[in-house]
Amino acid sequence: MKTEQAVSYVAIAVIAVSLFFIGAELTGFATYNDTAEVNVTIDASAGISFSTAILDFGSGAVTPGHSAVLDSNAGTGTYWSGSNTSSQLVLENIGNVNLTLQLKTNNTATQFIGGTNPLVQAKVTNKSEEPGACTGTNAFDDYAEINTTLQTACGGAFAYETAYDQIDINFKLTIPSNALGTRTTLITAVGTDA
Amino acid sequence: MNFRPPKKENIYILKPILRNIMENKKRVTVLVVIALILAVTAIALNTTDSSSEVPTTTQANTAPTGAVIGVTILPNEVEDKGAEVPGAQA
Repeated sequence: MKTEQAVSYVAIAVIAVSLFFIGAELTGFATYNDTAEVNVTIDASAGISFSTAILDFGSGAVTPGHSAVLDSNAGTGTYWSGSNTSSQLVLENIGNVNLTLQLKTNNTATQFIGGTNPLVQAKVTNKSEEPGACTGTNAFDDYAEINTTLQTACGGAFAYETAYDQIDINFKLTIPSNALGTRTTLITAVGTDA
Repeated sequence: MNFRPPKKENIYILKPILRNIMENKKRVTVLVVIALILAVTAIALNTTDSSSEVPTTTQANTAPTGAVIGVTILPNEVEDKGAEVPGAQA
């Protein structure tokens, strides 16, 4: 009988220790009304998305002996027989944290446009009704060549607040007269937690 | 050897005691089995660390997102001035 008791106690001790390691907790029935708090922790979530992801300059011919210059910001096209384009890419911070922003293309200007001395330039600005969306160092403050390496556009912050979380990305293409064909290139945007 | 069967009275006295002993043994066995199962479970969970919390915080960096710009460059129109001259032959 003594042995059985000892084994029982040891077994109970093992059960208790095992439950502790498994993570079981004691619970109880509330016998009176009380208040409680509800807490929620929202983790940082970073995300950017092009709300306008296509910028089509249309079709046209370059005046012989000249290079055409198509400017989406000004909505102009010089030495260009096609219609002018005044739209732009629109990028939105869809997360809940400020980001820094970098941009690049997947092709060089020569690969994209072809011909002799082509040029692709980008300009990053706050969307007109959303000042403060892009702050800090901006390599594309005015039109600047965009290439295949990441360049900082919003070095301070690309803000996430709904009132100012969108930026415009305009492009200026310099198309030589010996370029030809349908040309496209990919613009890549990378956001990093500021 | 002279075997004497137990008296009936003795059997009636021993029976509940034996039953009690057997029930106690059953209880102890059940306890030991439960203890073993829980111990093995606890060891397995701690070994595989599957009872630990899994971090749910997302890394606050975005995946690269892309857009496309395009243009179609047409051939230059070549003006054939000779065709406008009356009587001119190509």
